[in-house]
Amino acid sequence: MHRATQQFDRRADALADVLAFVDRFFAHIGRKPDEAVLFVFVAEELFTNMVKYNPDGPPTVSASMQEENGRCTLVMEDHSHTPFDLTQAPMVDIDRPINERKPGGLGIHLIRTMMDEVTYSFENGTSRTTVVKNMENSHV
Amino acid sequence: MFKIVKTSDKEFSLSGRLDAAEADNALPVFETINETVTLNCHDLAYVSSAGLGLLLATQIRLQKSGSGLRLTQLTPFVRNVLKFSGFDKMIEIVE
Repeated sequence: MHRATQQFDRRADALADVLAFVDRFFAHIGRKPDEAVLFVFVAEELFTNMVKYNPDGPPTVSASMQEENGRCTLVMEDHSHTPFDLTQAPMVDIDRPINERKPGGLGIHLIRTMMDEVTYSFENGTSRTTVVKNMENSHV
Repeated sequence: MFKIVKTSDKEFSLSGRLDAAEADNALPVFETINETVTLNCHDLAYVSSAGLGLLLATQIRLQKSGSGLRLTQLTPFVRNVLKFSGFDKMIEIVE
């Protein structure tokens, strides 16, 4: 099993550090950059939501990656007063015509569509989002 | 690192990753697009929801004048993002 954890400043300009963390992990486990891109996407969406919607939270958030037998897991943790369970957010109606499309929600929609598992927990002020993808069956 | 380069009168080449930070940087270039153009995405590895927002806003603006974006040479990941978001129904994709 491979595992890595890192703390990131809660700042928009720390996004590059978050994405580099994911890239490094996939390189460490011997996977190609185009295999990392799905998790890069998810990490960006989750991190930018943390920065945007919990700006007054603690100075850092954490990201953990784990890989075992081709099953990759990303866990993003934040501390907040109120939970936000992305698994309960409404999915975007992707069949709406362009002039009826409203901004927002697409990142969460895509995470829930493209990952094999998405779970959320909120305990003692810790907001934890876990996403899993079996890379051996990945067509994304 | 994301780059958008005008390669001809009606074509731009996109490369790298169009993430949230790069979408802000790319906005001024997209705002110069005022007619139908082709975006060659051969080297575009990634687009986030921020990048999708940029594409959507540009497409909505162009459609008001009967123009639009045309995307070509999509990488598998970008193609899937466009499909799962329904953008493939809103923006022309040229195979």
